Amino acid sequence: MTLEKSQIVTHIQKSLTFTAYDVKWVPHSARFVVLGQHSRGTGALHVYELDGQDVKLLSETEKEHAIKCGTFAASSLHDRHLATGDFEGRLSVWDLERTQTPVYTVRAHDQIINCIDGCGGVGVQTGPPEIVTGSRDGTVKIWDVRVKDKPVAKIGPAKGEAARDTWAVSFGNSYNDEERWIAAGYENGDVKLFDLRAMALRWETNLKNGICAIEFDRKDIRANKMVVTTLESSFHVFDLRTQHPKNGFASTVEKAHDNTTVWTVKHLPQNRDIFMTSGGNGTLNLYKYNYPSPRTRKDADNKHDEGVPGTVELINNAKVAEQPVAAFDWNPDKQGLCAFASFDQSVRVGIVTRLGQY
Amino acid sequence: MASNIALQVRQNAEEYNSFLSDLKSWEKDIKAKDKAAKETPAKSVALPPVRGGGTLSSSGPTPAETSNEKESPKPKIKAYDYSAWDKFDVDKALEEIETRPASSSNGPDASIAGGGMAGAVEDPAEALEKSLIEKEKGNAHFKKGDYKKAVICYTKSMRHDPNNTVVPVNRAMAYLKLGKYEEAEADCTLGLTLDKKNVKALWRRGIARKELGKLAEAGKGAYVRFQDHMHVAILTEKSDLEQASVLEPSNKAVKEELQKVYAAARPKDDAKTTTINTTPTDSKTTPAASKPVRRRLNIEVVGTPKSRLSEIPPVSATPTTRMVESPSPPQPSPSTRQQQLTHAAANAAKTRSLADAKPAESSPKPAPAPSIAPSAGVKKSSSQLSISFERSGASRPVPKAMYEFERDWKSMRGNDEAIYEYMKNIHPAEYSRILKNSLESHYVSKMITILQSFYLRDENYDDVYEILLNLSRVQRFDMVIMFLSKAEKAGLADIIGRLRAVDSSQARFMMDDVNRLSELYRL
Repeated sequence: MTLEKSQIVTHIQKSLTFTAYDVKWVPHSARFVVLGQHSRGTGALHVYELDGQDVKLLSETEKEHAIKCGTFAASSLHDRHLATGDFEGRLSVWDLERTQTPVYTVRAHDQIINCIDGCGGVGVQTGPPEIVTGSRDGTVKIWDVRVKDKPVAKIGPAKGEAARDTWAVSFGNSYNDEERWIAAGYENGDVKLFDLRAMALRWETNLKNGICAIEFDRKDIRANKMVVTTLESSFHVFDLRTQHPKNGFASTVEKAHDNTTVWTVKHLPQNRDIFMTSGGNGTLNLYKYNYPSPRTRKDADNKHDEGVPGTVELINNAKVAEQPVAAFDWNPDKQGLCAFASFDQSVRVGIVTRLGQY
Repeated sequence: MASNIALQVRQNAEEYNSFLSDLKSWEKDIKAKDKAAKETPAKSVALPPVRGGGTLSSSGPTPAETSNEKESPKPKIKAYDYSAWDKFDVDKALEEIETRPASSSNGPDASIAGGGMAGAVEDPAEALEKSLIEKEKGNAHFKKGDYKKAVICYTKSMRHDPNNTVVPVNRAMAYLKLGKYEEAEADCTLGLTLDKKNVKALWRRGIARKELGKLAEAGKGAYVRFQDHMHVAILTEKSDLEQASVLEPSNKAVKEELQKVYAAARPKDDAKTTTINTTPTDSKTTPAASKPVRRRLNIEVVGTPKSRLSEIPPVSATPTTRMVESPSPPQPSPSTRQQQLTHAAANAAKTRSLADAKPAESSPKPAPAPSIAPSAGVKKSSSQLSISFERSGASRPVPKAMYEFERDWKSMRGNDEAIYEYMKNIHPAEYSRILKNSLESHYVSKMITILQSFYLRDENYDDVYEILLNLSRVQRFDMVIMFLSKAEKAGLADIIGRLRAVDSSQARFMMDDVNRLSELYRL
């Protein structure tokens, strides 16, 4: 049995002169960007390229404010513009060939942008190219770079309601030009699903634990499932196929990473049922989701359909760093190639073998 | 057990190594692809429109309350519901029915498109080439005043490429000069089937009809349907000149001609020869008889065509196929507005690219057609439909959007030589599309400096004129001009003075054009 297991191997390690918060592969390339904060509080945007047994630094840019997060997902394959959110609440879009001045920039939030996601760009050919940002100010805003200075949609707390720090946002269900959902996770454990077409809250729940990361298994298909990771050592997998009017979506919960924070989750681009989580103890966990059979059943009153939770199987794990692994990204083009950054001021390129067998 | 572990370790190592060698070849591959991707020029992709926008409280209503809100189709009025039928607006319903098929049959007939190609099958590119050559010859003859030869050349050109709007309209001008008004009218009509909004064609047909004594038709009290603001731009039943003046309100020549037509047409109206009005003879006192005049005022007051076009919402989600400078025949059917506009733009582009192919017109000539294109382009740009004027040898690529222009401009701060090179790469007609509503006085002021110190140095008078003219068409231009400093005004005056001094036979613009320009810039 063990012989067929996928192995998680650190291939290259590169020390950084700053703390990395996010790492992203440039689509259709062997390059990746590392975003973070210098010790003097300024922002770092480094571009590296795989070079045999090493990675070489292609460009480094220092920005006024520390950069928290970034995404390529709202940019076309031709442009490959990187959208970033920084500590001052500024959303900027960069052409990696000219990082001196952004191609688009806006003071998106009053406070730090914690999370960012894109849709309608590389790989996802449906719907307008949009960027979503979540901030400490409690709002989630959707941006279209064709519109200057103001968001195309804004989701915020109602008047009189306490603003909750938004920690995670993710696009999904964008299977045609109109449909699109956003999942948002908050520090108090709230998870909310917003339907952008109807501009309505579709579903919400509370997981009693700060939400660190959310990801739909795919952005460009009818909502199938999503993984939500929490501050204290567990993650939930929601089956989004069937929504019960009262019970919502079925989910399964899994303990992971030895009682440390589950920092991030990323689905394998080549197989949506396989995903990697990274933990506060410096480990990477590779999971496979097994669908139940059947996926839906009648509820107790025999009136409505409800989803049946599936099971999660740990394929393998590996300790890759002494410090929390805060960011992880699969290479979208090469199966098994990944990059991850940890708080020990280094970025690593990893290899996961035998992923084709699942 | 131990051997098992050893085997596992060995296998894992093997697995890892094979992955590495695989990775190596992939790396090489992807780097080549990456490089290629960086170098390929941008394709303009029709993107879905920008989201309508909205705010939502994060504890907003759940879909249970909001769903089932789908718009229901208009309810059918039941036969026995007399009160409902009383309220039924038959005219409106008819109009609706009328406009629907009209929008799908706007394209030119196939017979027109294919009519000129007598027998021989030509390579389309070659045919296009020949067509352009003949057109150039025709223009040359026209300039010399040899209108008969010009007509022959234009005819040949049309045979090679029946889809070019410019040629029939040029031939119409030649016919006008020859006094053959019927032919001229027919040519303009042909030009208009190819491009509904060709100002020159409308203008020339108006003249031809006026000459033909078809005054009633030329100045016919327009039956304007303000169905709703969205479609004001499509004034189907308007007479030519009025339409031309709507398309280009600034065009004085058209206006003057229109005034003449009105002056001539009014007595006829009084005599009640050919009017579509059903009003009694006592026209001076009845409001209906004075309608033409009042309606005309309506048209001019309601707004400039630019503002009208601006009201057209981006046609939702349908990614239309765009024809950019393509010689293929215009799509016969679902010619949505977008397509028409792009087509107009494409034609405009053709006109531009063959800059001196424009025959020299007598009397003040109408401003070149492209003004339609950019203003339309501005509005469409929300869905990023753009026409790229690619020019080779550009050190910096031509900006496709404001952000690129802004970025490039910033990065060239203090390097005037670079800005000059950059400006040379931008087609003047593109400015209003690129700048949209972001024209700032510092751009204008810099441009004035560049024009003064480089363009004039290189004696690029035509370009200077084109740039100044096109800048004046950018949104917010009037505002910016108001805030120019004295020094900048002086610079402008200097440039215009130089343009005045240019021998107009050498240039593509006339004295009158320069005078108009100086008015535009409030000098």
